[in-house]
Amino acid sequence: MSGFAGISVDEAVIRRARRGDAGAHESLYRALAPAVYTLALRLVKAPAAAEDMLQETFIEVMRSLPRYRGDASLATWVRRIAVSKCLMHLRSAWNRRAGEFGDGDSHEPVDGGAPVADSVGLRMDLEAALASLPAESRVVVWLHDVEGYTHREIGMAMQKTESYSKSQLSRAHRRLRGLLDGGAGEPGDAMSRATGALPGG
Amino acid sequence: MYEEKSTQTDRDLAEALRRLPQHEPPRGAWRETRRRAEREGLVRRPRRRRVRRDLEWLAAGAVAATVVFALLDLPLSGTSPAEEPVPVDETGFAATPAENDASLGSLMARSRLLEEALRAAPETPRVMRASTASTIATLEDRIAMIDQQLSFPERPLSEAEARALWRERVQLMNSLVQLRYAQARRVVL
Repeated sequence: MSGFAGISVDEAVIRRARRGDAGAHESLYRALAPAVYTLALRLVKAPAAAEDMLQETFIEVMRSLPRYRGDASLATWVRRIAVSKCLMHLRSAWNRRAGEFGDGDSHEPVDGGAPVADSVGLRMDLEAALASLPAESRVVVWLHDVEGYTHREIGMAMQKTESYSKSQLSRAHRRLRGLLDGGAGEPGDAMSRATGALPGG
Repeated sequence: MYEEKSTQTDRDLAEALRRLPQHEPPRGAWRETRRRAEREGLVRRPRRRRVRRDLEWLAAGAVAATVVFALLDLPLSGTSPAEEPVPVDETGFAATPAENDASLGSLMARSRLLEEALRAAPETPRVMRASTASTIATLEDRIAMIDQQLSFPERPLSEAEARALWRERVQLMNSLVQLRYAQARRVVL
């Protein structure tokens, strides 16, 4: 479940925050920061960068809250800001130079990821497998599978097409399956553990 | 058949991703964010809390000053130095009877306590009346002049001369401390 689901903020707190009340902004932060930080960590991967995204998001919330009309829930609105900040970060010149983002399929293995798992020589858990995906695949899979974005919304957010999002998701799933099933053990064991042994799974 | 299996696996995968644990932001992240927001003028401190804190702080300072004045046996009442410039003239201030009889050691101790009270006093407000600013400047100049005379005398000072200078210093410091607290009280109230 998305960390943003079920977060509700009192209207009075939002009104006070709109007026720039530091105490109200702290309340918003306490309610939303874990979800924002987790999202940022999944998308940008590096903890230091995720912390930067957390700060950027809340500074933007403070700047833009007077313009928040309440069409979507505050949590959804804040998530949109956080996603936008993370994508901006990933699209930044530095990340593009490092080949982390925006160069399409260049990091995609042909057979869906097994070579990566083999080279590591370990069966990876889901969190590590997710982190090992190329940034664009990671973003698509997280936004679609966890945050519930549609392919159209993902395409718009990433300035790509809807079909691009679909193909990225398909490849990301294939690669995740490959990573989880790679390494020692019977094929499918790790996948079963990742999808079945979690609480309630 | 393969497609069905794949879709089910993808659903399981998505479900497993949704169950990944949430991460707590690093400690201190909010403090950093708030500092930046304050620097950029995006938030303001709640006025009620600020005034309450100022009042608490002023009350603590006032208690400290009262203790000092009680120790010094100096008058706390009378004409407010903030309302009326302290009469500084060539001969200095009229000494209270207690100060006239005080030994050099006790005058130095009183001066030290007043220094501490002054350090604990609220900061000088940015805006103040010209007469008040002038009085503060005069007092501080006189204290600096006395410190110069005590530290680097042109000739060795007799005990009576040193006592007169220390007595004057105590009186000047007393006026300065009272003035600073009267000023802070007016700013807060």
